[in-house]
Amino acid sequence: MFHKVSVIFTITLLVMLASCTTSTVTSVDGNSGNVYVLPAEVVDRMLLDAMSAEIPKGGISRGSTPYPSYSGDVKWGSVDTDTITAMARPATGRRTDGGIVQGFVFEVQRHGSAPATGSPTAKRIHAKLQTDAELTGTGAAFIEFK
Amino acid sequence: MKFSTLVILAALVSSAPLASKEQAPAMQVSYGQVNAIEVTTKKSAIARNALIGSLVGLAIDDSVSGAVLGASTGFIVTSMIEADRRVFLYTLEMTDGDRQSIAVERPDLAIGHCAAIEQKGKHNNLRPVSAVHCIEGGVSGSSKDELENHRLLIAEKCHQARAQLANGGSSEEIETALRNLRSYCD
Repeated sequence: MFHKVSVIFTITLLVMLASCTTSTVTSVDGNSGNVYVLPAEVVDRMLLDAMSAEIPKGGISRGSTPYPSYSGDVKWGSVDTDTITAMARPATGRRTDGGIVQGFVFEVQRHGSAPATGSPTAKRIHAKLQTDAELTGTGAAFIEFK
Repeated sequence: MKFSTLVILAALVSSAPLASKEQAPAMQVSYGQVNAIEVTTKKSAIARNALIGSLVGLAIDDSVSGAVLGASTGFIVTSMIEADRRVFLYTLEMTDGDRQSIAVERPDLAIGHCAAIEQKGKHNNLRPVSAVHCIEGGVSGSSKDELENHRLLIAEKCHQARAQLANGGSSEEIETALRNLRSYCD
């Protein structure tokens, strides 16, 4: 009996683990894209604003990364959950005049078993960040992550 | 220290405030109708840069913004085009008869739209506006002045919001600047 239960438990666990997926929406693709030359406190606020538009403020927590990031959960049905993490990764860029600058690249990652909710949410958050970032007019060509 | 050195130093010190004043150009807003749109990329833009005399690379420098404005065909870089992403090169038929091209990442303007090019030093912005700005005699008299002042005020607020965000600040300052950025720069 115990063996049967443990087999069922193991299978269930494996199915749950297998159904967890991760994907990232980013503004850099390969070696192209934009680095935004903004202070950390500004990108921090932009991240919080973008996350707040999709996830209730009480459900948003500061990420554990050394750079600005925020996380929050979205649900699909009563069981499946995706964790959305919006982050500003430090990166090096090059301006049109050739000058090397330090800035941030916006990325939004989803991880979990609710991609049907998580994926469009991540895309919308990233679109908000990208719109804000473009309005600042501080883009520089991406070179590499720091 | 030699007397001549002192004279040179004194001249430099006395001219410093004047120089800083000269580096703060006034906001200029010009209107035009979009008559061509080209979807381009970093490589294409750079190639174009070579064709039109390096204005792309220089346009970010305050010192040439006047030259760009004065040119019959200018090429202005806003945000960033040096990436292999799509950028949109809009050519505008300006109300004074000149043509100006501006590369931006916003894709939402169409041929025939009236748009404003706002320029102040490194700050460049392309903004869709009411067609009355592009019609000869569309606005006249005091209404014209009011509209012009209104547009200048909006452009100035956008510029100030960008400057604030580039420099950072307190939480309240950033919040206000982001709000103004979304209100006045889009």
